[in-house]
Amino acid sequence: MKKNRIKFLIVLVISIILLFPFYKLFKEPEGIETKKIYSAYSAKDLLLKVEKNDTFWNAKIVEINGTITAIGKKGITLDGKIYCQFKEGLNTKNLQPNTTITLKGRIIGYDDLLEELKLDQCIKIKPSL
Amino acid sequence: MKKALFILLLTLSYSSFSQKYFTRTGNTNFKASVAVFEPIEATNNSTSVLLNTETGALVAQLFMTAFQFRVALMQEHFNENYMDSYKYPKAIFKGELSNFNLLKVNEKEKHTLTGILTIRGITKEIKTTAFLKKENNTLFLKATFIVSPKDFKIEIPAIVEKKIAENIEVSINYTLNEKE
Repeated sequence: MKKNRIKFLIVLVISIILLFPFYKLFKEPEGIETKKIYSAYSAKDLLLKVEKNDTFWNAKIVEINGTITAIGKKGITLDGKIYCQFKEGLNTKNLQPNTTITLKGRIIGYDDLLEELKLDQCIKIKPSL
Repeated sequence: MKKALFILLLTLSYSSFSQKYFTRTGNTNFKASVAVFEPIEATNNSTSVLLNTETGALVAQLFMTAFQFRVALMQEHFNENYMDSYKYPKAIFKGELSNFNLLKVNEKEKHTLTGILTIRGITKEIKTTAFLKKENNTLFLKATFIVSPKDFKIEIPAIVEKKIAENIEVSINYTLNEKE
């Protein structure tokens, strides 16, 4: 009886070890919620920093706070110069222009076509729901 | 009187010239899957597109790191090994829709889209058919075209060569709104 149990445990451990690479291989990308924030900035500061060295900021996760100057269906504009696209599934309802907001999001780059800094996967930190 | 008319015409032509449609959240998708192997495809929902409705000139720009894969490891390989996304963060398309006329969009839905696609600093000419539709003040633009990793000198290691298609299908799906 006891032997069986030990055998079972050994098989279990071995199968976990064997299956682990597959888990890693097919793992989904990590969600923004659990990712570590590189640092927190005001919208103005972040703009100045990214303008200086934009490749460094590629895909960095930041917390950003600023004033909402425009509200679209899929995202909002902060301080007129930073477009924050919300995470898929989140909406921009209940947001008011000219109020301040804090978001967590990922910098994707400076868009010279529309002349604005672009973030995606943004989630609201403050004011929280 | 003549002068006033001239100024009026000038301002009219200027305002129509500056008319643009745009989006920040355009959808660009690619499929590089080979049957039997796991699907290799990704979506970019943050494509910026600017269309001059007077001339039909179209510019689209996207950031490589904004491509979302279903598998984290694929996304990592895409950015770090194949696309060098930190060195070449953007892909840019500059082109033109043939015989574009904003007022007649719904009469003729097929347009030829030609232009230059730049990825990793390497250019490739693209020519395809674009489908256009207009509803109220929104323009819907759809097209697909084929590119190959070779076009952009993307080296694929022999070990995964069979899993990545030689002809990659790129589809674009943009919902454009008038730009103030």
